[in-house]
Amino acid sequence: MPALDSFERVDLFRGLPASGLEALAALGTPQHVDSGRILFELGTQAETFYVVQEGRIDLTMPIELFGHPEDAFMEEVNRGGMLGWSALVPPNHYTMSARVAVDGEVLAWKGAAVRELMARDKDLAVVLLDNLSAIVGQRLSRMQALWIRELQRTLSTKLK
Amino acid sequence: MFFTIGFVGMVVLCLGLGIALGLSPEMPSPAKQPEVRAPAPRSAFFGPEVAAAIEATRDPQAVALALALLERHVRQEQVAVESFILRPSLAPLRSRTSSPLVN
Repeated sequence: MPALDSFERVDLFRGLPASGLEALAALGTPQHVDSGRILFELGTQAETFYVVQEGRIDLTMPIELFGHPEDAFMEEVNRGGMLGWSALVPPNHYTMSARVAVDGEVLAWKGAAVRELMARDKDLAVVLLDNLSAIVGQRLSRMQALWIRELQRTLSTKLK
Repeated sequence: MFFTIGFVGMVVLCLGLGIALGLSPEMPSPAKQPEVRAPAPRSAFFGPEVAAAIEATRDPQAVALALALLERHVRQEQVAVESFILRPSLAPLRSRTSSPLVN
């Protein structure tokens, strides 16, 4: 079972009571991950989400280069960061791919097991969903801003 | 007379056959026509210099270089976006970076 003190810096678990943290810890599985390993791929069934304990995971999206799809860097997730939240959110399809960039350790949770826990413990569910909403909302805000920047550049070029 | 007409007819027939088989030096076959290449599509994302470099080379090193440029570009964009997240305003949405992919 993972140590609870390592949960303090995890955004997803912020504000959870000790009992909730213990329940979650009982469901988490530590995994050593080597550089280059693919944790999950875009579009596949999202069953597991992860919290980075050590090392670094890169989130990537496919982009076509020279006629072939390549995984292009989109975002990095470091210690305390969460990835694979699609395991908790329908339709449970990963929206990016995740590749280990620096050897380290992650904690892995089965989304279904955590959803069962949330169904039993509504207080825990409220805090978890609040935190999850913040994480997803930040991702949305970043993507919106990135998109507007790209749109602005296109307009500046085309409407000169 | 008939011999002359027959000879001329034979010459015309041979010339026609030669042209049809592509043996005439004056009539290059379509296969030997210089290839007209369509201009490469202009990249909407990469700047012209980077796009030209990518077009010129298509080897693993070029792929690695392009991916490294993309990562640098994305990281620079994210830095610009972070200031928008902290304090939403127009300026961070219009600020420029030094990314070679868009300059």
